[in-house]
Amino acid sequence: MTGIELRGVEKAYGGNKPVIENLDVQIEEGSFTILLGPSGCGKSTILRMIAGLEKETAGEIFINGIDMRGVSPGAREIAMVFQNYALYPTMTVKENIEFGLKNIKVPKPEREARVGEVIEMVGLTEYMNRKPQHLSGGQRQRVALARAIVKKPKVFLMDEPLSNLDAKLRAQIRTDLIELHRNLGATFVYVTHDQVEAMSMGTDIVLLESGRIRQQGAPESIYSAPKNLFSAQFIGSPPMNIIKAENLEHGGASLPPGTVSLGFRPEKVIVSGEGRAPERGQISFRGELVAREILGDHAIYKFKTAFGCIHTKTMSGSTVEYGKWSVRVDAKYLYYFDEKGDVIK
Amino acid sequence: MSDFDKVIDASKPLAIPIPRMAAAERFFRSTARAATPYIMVAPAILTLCVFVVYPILYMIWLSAFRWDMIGPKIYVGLGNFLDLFSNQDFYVVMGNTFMFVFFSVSISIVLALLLAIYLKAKTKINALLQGFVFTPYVISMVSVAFIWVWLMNSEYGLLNYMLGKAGVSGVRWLEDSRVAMYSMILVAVWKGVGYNVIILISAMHAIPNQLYEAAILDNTKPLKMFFRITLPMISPTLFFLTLMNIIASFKVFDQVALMTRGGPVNATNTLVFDIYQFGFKFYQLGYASAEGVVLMAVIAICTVAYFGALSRRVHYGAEI
Repeated sequence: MTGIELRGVEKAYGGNKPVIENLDVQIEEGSFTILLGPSGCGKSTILRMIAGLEKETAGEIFINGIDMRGVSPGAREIAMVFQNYALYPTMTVKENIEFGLKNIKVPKPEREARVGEVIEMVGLTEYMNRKPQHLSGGQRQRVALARAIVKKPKVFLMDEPLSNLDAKLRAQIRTDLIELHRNLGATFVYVTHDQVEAMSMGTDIVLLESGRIRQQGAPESIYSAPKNLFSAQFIGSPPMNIIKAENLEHGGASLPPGTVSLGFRPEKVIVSGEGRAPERGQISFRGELVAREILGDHAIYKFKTAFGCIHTKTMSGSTVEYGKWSVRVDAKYLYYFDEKGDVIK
Repeated sequence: MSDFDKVIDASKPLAIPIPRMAAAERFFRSTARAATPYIMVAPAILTLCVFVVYPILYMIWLSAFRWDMIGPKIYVGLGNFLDLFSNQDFYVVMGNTFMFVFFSVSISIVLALLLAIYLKAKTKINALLQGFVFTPYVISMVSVAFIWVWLMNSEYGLLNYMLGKAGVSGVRWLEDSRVAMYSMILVAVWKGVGYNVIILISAMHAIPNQLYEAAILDNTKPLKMFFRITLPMISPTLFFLTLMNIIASFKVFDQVALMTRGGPVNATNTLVFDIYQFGFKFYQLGYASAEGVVLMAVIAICTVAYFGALSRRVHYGAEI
């Protein structure tokens, strides 16, 4: 069943050109949906329209089948976690969490029980009576989560909630969020520009560019079957290598008709000694290793070739020394793109 | 001694002669270093002493004498204070002062808060209205006083003219001893409220919008939004502003001197105007100094009491 549905939604500020035009999105109930895209693609605006903090210029938004037109943000059975947490600085941790419950007049015994349970869940029992300014970034983040959880919403909206945390904490809260999503069974809508967050947490990714959906699907399908150059290059770290086809033609390679560029993932590249002839069904580039990043379990190399730079990623094995090499990739791992940037099947 | 012995000797600290400063020079240098910060702040401290500390001490000293500025100073001990506290007029003056402070500050702050809430939205018309409410603050008190003396004139003033048109009998704004103080408060509020409005609006603009959005999602009603978010967030500004208003109101002089000269029948006579009267019209400088000491004590006590009562409820730390 559809949890959230946007039909023909448009958003314009003032008399300007709309930032979002005729957008249709379907978000499955109980999914962990990521709105992913570069800054300025409208992902936060979409989230804020779902929350009701911003009004759509045209179109309709449904949450669990109910038209949200005229429904106030507080009545939408949603909870939101902000990038800067937006904790009430004058209230203690406990007061922050119970504020929303007090406003809808939840009886005191129930309120106490719910608040106590949630504070324990996020592990802040001993910080209950502290003000947010006396908490670390990670603790504030957990208060913000607790404030959302305690309302028992059907939908959690999160606007880049991890971007103010350091890398280690981010990785930790990422797994916490996955666990939380599994435990609560609620719909999570999560805005980020970080494809690692998207791939690691999402059950469904909506990839956006300039207010339009470029691809929507499970992380693995977006990774293995990108529909266009944009998703090919947005997902994956480092992104997909793209080679202009016109350069290749001279090498006598046979490409599907209409191919303008082709791509392959750095993970699929094999590095071998220079001058080694490609095997059947492979293409090969001669190049020079110009940079390498040794990251323990894997390494990333940058080769300069006649066709442009090629990144490769190897999971194990000996370190490749600086010098001239031949990089090869199996034809079955190649993606072909037409002049509009769409993938050719 | 062989060459070998010399090598062994070299392991001992080398006796290279280090140029030594003369003891006197060393003493001078360390003293100069220690004195530098004091020399740096000396001009400020000196100015403070000459223009603030000395006058205060002189005032306190003078309050123990009877002096008419010409003849010799006669030591009377606490005599001036005894005179002061046995003078019925002094209690009237103190009552007037407290009334003026209490009403002008509370009305001005509450009104400024209401206006700030109304005017904080950034629109063109609000920018204009903010300018209007701020204008009285920049007008000289002399002009303000004359405008209002004319407006409040019971015979040909505009206020009574308009009341007359509305069928209400005229008020003797500044001539009726029961009304005069309220008229003074009205003018003080009119003149001062704009400043408070501007300061409060800027404090309100500093509140992150996300707090309001979080509160909207928490189903917060507008009134609660004001008391739980806006008010606590602007509390440091409000606290400071109120304190400054209180101190300034205690020291009101120009408005009284220009509009009523303390009249009618002492109804608008406040402490500083009374000090002026005794000091520079009746030439009783000892008595005036005693009043000055009382004013200083009253402001100090009010400030301490105000801090004690409210400072713990003020939220500092704008970080969210």
